[in-house]
Amino acid sequence: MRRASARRQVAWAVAAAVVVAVGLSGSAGAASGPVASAAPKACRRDPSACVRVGIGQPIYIGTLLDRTQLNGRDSSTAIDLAVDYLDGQFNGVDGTLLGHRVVLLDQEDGCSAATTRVSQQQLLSEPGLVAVIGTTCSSAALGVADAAFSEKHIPLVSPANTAPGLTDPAKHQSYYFRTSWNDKIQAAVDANFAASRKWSQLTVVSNPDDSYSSQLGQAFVDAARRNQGRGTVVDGPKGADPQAVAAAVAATDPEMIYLTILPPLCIDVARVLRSDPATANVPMLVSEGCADENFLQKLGPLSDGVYASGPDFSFYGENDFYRTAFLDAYRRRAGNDPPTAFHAQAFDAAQLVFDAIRRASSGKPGGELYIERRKLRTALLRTTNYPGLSGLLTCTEDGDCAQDVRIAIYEAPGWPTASQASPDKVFSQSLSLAQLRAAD
Amino acid sequence: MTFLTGLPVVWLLAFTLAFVVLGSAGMVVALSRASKEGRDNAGATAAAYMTALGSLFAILTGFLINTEYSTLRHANEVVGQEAAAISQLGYASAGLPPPDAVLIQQRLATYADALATVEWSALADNRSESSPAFAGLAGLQAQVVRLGSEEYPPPDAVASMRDALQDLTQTRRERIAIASQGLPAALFALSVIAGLALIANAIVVAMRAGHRYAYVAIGIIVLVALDLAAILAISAPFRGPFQASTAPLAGVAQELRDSAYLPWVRK
Repeated sequence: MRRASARRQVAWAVAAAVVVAVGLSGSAGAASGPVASAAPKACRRDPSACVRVGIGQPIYIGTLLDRTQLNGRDSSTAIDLAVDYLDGQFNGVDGTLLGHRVVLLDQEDGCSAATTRVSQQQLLSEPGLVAVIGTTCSSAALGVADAAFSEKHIPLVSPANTAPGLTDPAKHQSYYFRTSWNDKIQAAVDANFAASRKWSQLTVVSNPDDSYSSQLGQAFVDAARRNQGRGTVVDGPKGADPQAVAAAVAATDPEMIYLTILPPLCIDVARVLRSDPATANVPMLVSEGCADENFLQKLGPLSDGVYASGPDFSFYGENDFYRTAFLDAYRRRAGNDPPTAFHAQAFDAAQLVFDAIRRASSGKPGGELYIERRKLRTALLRTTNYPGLSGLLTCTEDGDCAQDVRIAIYEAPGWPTASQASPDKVFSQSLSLAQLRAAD
Repeated sequence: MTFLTGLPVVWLLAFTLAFVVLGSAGMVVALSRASKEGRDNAGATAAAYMTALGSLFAILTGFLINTEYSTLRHANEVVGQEAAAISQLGYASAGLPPPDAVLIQQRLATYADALATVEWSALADNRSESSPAFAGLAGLQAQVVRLGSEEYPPPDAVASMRDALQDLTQTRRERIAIASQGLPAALFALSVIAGLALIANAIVVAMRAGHRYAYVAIGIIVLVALDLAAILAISAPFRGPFQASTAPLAGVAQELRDSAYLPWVRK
């Protein structure tokens, strides 16, 4: 009996020793790589849910812009400045983010879905890609970049997309955000401007194939209808004959013409309309996509009196940081004044991304970092009343960060272009998305 | 002395007990060689001095404990003030443009972390300038000075940051001064001598009274050892067993990491 008991004790001791040995070997395996032991739980469970930035490695941020356009170049310069200012100085030397260099992977959106698809593949081939700032054109984002990056849980923060569809809850992709305004606001202000001048027969020329143009045009017609106006849409697809488009516009007997199409068609259509005696004196408004230096140069005196809508630049001048530090740095880097409004939105987009990375990462500055992709989105969503260059930013679930925007109407030649010292503002209004939702 | 005050509490107790017990054993051996008559006479005399020696030891050690405890409490207050200054700098920086506010707060978090984790050991080694906190404070100073030279930061925010930074620098200097202060060696030596004299006296009295009264002497031996250990333990606020708490600094570092001072981050 005693012997049996002793044997049982020996058996238990051997079993316990085996269990302890297996446990020790298991724990040694788990801890063999410093990556495994230091990583947050979510990263160990699913390595694709995080970006690991090793010691001395950079943080990769993509940019997906159309640098052939002024607003794309404007955004690109501002993003470069944001990286420069990571050390708290605009000195031409890039700062670091959490002790790591920031490497911008620059790609072109070409303002088209086809170019964007190629570029986004290039960006997605970098496994360490943390976030992307872009796109310039709404058509490059809607159903293209917004879907591709959201699928990979990579935030896409646009400084220039304004098409309402991008943040429509029915279409919104969860990792898509924008610091630019929603064109629902621009359309409502433009319609209010028309109503203030008692113009009720309003004709919009928009490109049905371009989400920016068509959605701004439709939002304007909807807003005009709320103001008891009558809106008519004339199609102006890419490559259309400007004469034919102008003829179709003239046939609607408009009291005001609103061009939401992009260059070069908008410039050509405007020239034809301003040259035709039937429409030469009809007030004309162009959206910010067309309102640049090129338009004024190419139309010459014909552009006089043409209205342009876009963000109210006077607000930027009220920001001391923008006026006394940012603008000088911009001029030093680009060699000219900002040609469009989008530099402010782009600087803000970059800052929001940097801020979110700081809050979504774990690890010591300069050491090994883990950036959780879901936390990055959550960090962006926790942004409330961020005092950016472009205004207060509050990022919501539908992706809009600019909740309250001041839109102004300028009269040529006093548009807010790089060469214009004092823009000639004829109307300005601040509206919020909440106000528009309430009005709907 | 520096070595002693840096020992963990168990080792410190063991050391003082061993020292006192060995000393007592030596006294017992020496006294046991005396004649019975001599021991009786010595016992009668020693009994008369017990109160005086006990009072002397109590006053000396009481004074030392009070002084060293006050220093420890002051060190804790200074650390609390340092955490408050970090917090004030965090709040003041919230009035800056976001890229600057984030930068200041990130540097503050690194500074607070360095204070909470490595600063004490640097102070213990008398190498405060080798601590990462030293470079961290220099970086913060440079950043605040640079901001002060710019046109755009709100003057109130810059003034408040300067005040907070001044407080930070001042509390740091005060902390370093406290760390450089040692236990007053002469006073401690006097306490040790008084303690040993008290023990010797107690042993003489106990030997006269008989072995049954040895526990009185043993009690005094243990009490003297504990008293001396207590003095040594509390006399080094940045390296001994009873250190100034880093909890306020760790707390403010955590707040900074959680973006508690960034007004645009929804809590």
